[in-house]
Amino acid sequence: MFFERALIFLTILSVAFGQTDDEESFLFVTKQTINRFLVQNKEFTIKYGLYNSGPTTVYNVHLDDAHSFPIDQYELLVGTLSAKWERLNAGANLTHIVVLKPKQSGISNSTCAIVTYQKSEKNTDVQKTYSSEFGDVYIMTSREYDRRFSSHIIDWVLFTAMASPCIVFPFFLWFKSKSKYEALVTKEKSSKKAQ
Amino acid sequence: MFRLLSMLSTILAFLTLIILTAGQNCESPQFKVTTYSTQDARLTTESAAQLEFTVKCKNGKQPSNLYADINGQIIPCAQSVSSPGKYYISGSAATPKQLARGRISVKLYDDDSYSALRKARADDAVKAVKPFGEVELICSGASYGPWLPSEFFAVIVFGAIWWIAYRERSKILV
Repeated sequence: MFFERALIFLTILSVAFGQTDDEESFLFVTKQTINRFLVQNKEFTIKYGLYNSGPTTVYNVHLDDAHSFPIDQYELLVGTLSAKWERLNAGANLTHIVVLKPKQSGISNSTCAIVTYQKSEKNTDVQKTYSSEFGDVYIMTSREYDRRFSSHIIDWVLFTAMASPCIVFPFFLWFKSKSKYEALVTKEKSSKKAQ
Repeated sequence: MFRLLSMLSTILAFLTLIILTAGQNCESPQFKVTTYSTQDARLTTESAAQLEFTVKCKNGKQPSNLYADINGQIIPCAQSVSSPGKYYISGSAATPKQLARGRISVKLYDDDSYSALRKARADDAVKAVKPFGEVELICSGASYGPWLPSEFFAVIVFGAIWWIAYRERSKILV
């Protein structure tokens, strides 16, 4: 009897304490690329989304992703890979854009970004969370991209230059005989008129 | 004598309070802005835009936090950890039309104006809050490549050559 009562009491206690986890906020971080293709020496745009689920504001949010994109493989064009925000309200979301330029082609691996934040303004305990990742990506060479997407004007100009002998040579022959024939015809007409 | 001293000390305390509070605010800020927006729409699925700016205040102070008003939502600006003093506002649009060619004005609020904004409830009060500053996002518009592909012009040119030759040939053959 006593044991049953104690058990019931304990379960009520654990449920009551378990409820307090809902009052804390948790930050979800997504990391994705909005590129259709990754091309060497062309812009590589990464979008970080931070979402605060939960009822309270989180403070001192730090995003650090410099380890995923080492400086010898990627050049930073726009934005920063280490950013901080003072606060993120409950239910709000943030976007952060970084544009890089890959220097090398081939398969590249990128890891998660690390985000740290404080759950309350006074309590300086730092909570660490990891973002999602997009894993292995294939960076194609600029030649492959140009083959599909560039305007090919130069290719057509070269083609015209190479095809022109086939067109110009017969044209020249025809024009020569045509002008000779027309000269003959006008000569005949003028001689007929004279007669 | 004692009364004079106490009066002086209160006046001095009052003055220092004014100076301290005045010194914390950033007076007449000047912004140096670089903007970026997606240029190649064939390479990306969405359009992205970013504003990077630095603030220069008359009294040399830096604002501690800045908030930007984007489409009615007030979000905090990102600050760079490695180079302090740089602020970033980023956004992405699913359709390139939302970030079409043109200028988009973004209002900025600092701590004081942000708290005033949060306290304001009615629309008029919200509009009455004076923003810290305003920056402009210059979108160059994303391109989808040339309007007419070069193959179109090649077909036109070679088709014209063929047509002229055919016309002359039919003159001779007839």
